Amino acid sequence: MKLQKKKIGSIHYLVIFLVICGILAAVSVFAGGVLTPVKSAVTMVLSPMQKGINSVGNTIFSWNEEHKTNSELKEENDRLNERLDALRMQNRLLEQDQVELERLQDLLDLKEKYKQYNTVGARVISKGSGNWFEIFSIDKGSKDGIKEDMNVIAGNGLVGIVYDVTENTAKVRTIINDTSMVSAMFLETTDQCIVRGSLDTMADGYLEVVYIDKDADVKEGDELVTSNISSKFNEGITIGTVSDIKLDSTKLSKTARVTPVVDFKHLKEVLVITDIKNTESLDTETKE
Amino acid sequence: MSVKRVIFYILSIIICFLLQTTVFEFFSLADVVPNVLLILTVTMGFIRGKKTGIVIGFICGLLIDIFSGDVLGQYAVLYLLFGYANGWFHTHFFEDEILLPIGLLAANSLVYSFVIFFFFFALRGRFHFLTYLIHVMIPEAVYTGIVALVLYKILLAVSVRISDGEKRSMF
Repeated sequence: MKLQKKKIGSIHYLVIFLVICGILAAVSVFAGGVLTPVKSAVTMVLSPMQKGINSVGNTIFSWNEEHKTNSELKEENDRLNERLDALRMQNRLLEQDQVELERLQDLLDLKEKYKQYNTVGARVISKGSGNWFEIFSIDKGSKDGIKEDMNVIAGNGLVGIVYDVTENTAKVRTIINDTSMVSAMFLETTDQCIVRGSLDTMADGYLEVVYIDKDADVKEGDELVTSNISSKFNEGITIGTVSDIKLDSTKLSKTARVTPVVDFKHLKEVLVITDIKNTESLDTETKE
Repeated sequence: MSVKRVIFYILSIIICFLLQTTVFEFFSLADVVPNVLLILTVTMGFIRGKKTGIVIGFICGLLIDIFSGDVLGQYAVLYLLFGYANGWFHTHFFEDEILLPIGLLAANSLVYSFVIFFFFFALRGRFHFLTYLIHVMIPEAVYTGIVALVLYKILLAVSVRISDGEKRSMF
């Protein structure tokens, strides 16, 4: 008995577990569906705990917020009132535009293109471990009708895309993730371009925009939205405002910076667009 | 191995995992979160030896894989290797020593960052090493060291207590 115990050394442990890892990796690469029940089971156990901790943490945080000083609140109130007035004015103008738009759309029979997207609200329950990848999980899964490749927005802009779904949760890859590429266009001129995710540039608050046509008539402050030729993103979702447009070193295209409208550091609730863009995949190599 | 010890391992893994991944970042400072699961793996490898390090590292890595990875097993391999490597230092383990484990933990965090950078960034052609070094690697290593100071003490205290119980029950 003792002899046998001695035989299983740490090297054996190492080899055994490395082999297990190898098998797991092989299975998940070649037959990903097999492991989904396991993943579901684990997330089913752990995500309620994550939710609990989140709510406790948020309560403490909001309690802290409530104890802001009076003068600070007054100041904020004044500022917000001013802003409200300005926005009311803007809103009125936009309403007029909307009426005009609808009229013109009827005229052109283009209504389909501008239809509102159906959305489902979801809460962010966990983020990727570590500081390298901007991914997070939400508390809605296949049970709530979430599917892969659904777009995720927050408030007024694009957040990312669902890339993995279990029964009760789904994982979202944000557009600032290093592996993410979003095909976008300028709202006014419809010039196509690509927004490249990068933590490196996001540390300074912007993302790189590449492959803008060199003759494109674009200027700083233009709004960037998701492109109509994007294979996975629905058309017309705001990404951010453009700045610092430069000619590329190759002189063949322009590059720029885009400041996302979404505050990626404080994501608590997001909306999932349940309409999946239907496109025939022409180029399966491109990853968005 | 007693039942108590198994429960201790499971509980510490779950708690560390939750602390690290919940949105409300308990430890967040300068936009960096310390790698609590790495601290756990390294600490266990250090105070209990290679085998424990391997098992704990494997489970921690697998949890990360399940919650954030595409391919299962990649983080599991990484973490179990960390657990194993730190098992080598087990011979230098003394309960009163604190500098070695803390230094070890900070160094491990740095090595971990290098590995991640190499495999997930450099191989894809992203070479802004300096910005990653300044914005992610060094803050994470320093901060991991600080958090490790507390976490290591707690884990050690519980582990020693369980060991005492085990010894007593033998007689």
